[in-house]
Amino acid sequence: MYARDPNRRNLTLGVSGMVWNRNLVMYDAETKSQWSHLLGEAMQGSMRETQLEQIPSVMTTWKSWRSRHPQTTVLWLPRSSREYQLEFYRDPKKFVLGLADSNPPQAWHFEHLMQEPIQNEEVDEQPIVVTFDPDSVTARAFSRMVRGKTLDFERDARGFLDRQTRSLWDRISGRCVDGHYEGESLEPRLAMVSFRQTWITFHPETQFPNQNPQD
Amino acid sequence: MKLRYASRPSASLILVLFFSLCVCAQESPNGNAPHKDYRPRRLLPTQPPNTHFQLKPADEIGGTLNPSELVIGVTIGDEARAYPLNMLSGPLRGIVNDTLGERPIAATW
Repeated sequence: MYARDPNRRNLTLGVSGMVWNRNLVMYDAETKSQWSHLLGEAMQGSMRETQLEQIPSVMTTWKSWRSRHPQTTVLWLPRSSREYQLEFYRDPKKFVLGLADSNPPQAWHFEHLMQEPIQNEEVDEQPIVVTFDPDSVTARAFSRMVRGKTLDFERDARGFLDRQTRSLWDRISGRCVDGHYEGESLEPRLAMVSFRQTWITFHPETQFPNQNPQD
Repeated sequence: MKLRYASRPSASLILVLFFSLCVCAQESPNGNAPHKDYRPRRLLPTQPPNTHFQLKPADEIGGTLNPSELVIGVTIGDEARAYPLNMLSGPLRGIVNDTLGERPIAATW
């Protein structure tokens, strides 16, 4: 999910029909520059080296999204696929959650998150928490900093708790639903769900914190 | 580089091009020199940008979306929007130009 207003210039993006390293190349109608979808960066044309800002997003079920955002709107087009239902995750070992902006890249295997759904980490010296909701197979990453304080989280059947105040937080939205921080939301980190193999191909230097070595 | 806006190709032609191992000649760069490792390969004709689509409020969805269908959810400011993956997938859909919370965004997966 990208903002398409780099340098405050609105661009209209399209599928170029080309690939680079097996990844989609976009173009913008305004300058005809070519953009790597994976990097969010213009590779050719007058906008070369311009970076698109990534917008945090979550991959989840319609049920989970709707219950948390009753006023949501929904993009509507005729379906081009029927594949993307919960059954898509029938083999969770195939998936990772990768942090898009960490150096080196960090990722968490879904298989590991199923066992340990709340993970407190430090990435690039920033405290983050990785959360996993098994019912909707939703994985997310958030900052652990709230109002200047670093919180430490632990699992709870209803979501997850911070140890500092025992407030209850929602794993999918990062919102505090009860307790001292009620109404507060954790800042999401840019993270993407990816096939494990694809992620490792593009980011072979990925680290998997606190997880048994794979491959 | 002149982009050709092809008329909508048939589905079978798209599939053949998409899965084809044999590649047409690379685009020759024009204008600014490309990033040095950048060597794109063409698989399909250029697609016009997607700018036309419906937006439905949650109340109108009813049973037309299964509870377990996967969506990408985004919030900007007070606005929340779901992008069903089954409507975004495939080479013809790859990118949808949308505006959310007054921010122009590209919904893509």
